[in-house]
Amino acid sequence: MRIYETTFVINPQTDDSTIDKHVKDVQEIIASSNGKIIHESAMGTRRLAYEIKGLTQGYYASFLYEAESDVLGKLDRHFKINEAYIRDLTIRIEADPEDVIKQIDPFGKHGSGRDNDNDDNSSNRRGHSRDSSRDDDKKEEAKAEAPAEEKPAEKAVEAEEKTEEAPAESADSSDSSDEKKEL
Amino acid sequence: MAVVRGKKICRFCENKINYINYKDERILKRFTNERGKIIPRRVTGNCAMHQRKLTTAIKRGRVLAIVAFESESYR
Ligand SMILES: [Zn+2]
Repeated sequence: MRIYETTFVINPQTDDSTIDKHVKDVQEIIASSNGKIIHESAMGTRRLAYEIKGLTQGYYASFLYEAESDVLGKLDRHFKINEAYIRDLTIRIEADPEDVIKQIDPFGKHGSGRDNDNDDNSSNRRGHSRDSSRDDDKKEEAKAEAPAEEKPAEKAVEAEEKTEEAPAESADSSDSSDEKKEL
Repeated sequence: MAVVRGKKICRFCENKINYINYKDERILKRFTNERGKIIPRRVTGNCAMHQRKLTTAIKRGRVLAIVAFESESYR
């Protein structure tokens, strides 16, 4: 038994009962793998950051659960054959589920209790109807793109770590004393 | 990001956050620029561990269309 979190996006252009059914189907698949749901969050209909299959909005739902690993294949198949699901992601949770739940439901409670500066940022963004027509083709392959993108970005982070340490060391050896007093 | 040079505090350490929620649009946005690129930790002051977790979270958020992929055009 392992802890997983599955988040999926459903095409919202249908009635509520159909959406409910799509959510329940996922729940049943989890249950069929000896699953126990730890936390469920329905984030509701949100604007997509980029268009998917011509849609600009999606219905988001997420389950945090413990289940046998065969659930992964079952879910994968389910999401693949059913076109109502426009995006899905299942991850294994290695953190303490309590920590995860603490950070969950940012949409419901509006915020995760952290500092509130930059808030206007997100509300601004929501108001902008993103003109994503140009990068449509790109987004179609968003999924395929994702893993490819992983590497350069990670290298960038590593590289950055190195450049950051270097100046700190040189500062220590010579004129660090002045610098530290200033700060 | 109001971070004074030489006095960097990791916001996640400060708030004792062990898990970064990839579904939290606000957090993901706070650490990406207007093009959707991840802001380096030299600018934000995040510690290496949290920057790593944040990077993972942002990438997951992109897959789920919670935040945009890096793009030439403004969002
Ligand atoms: Zn940290």
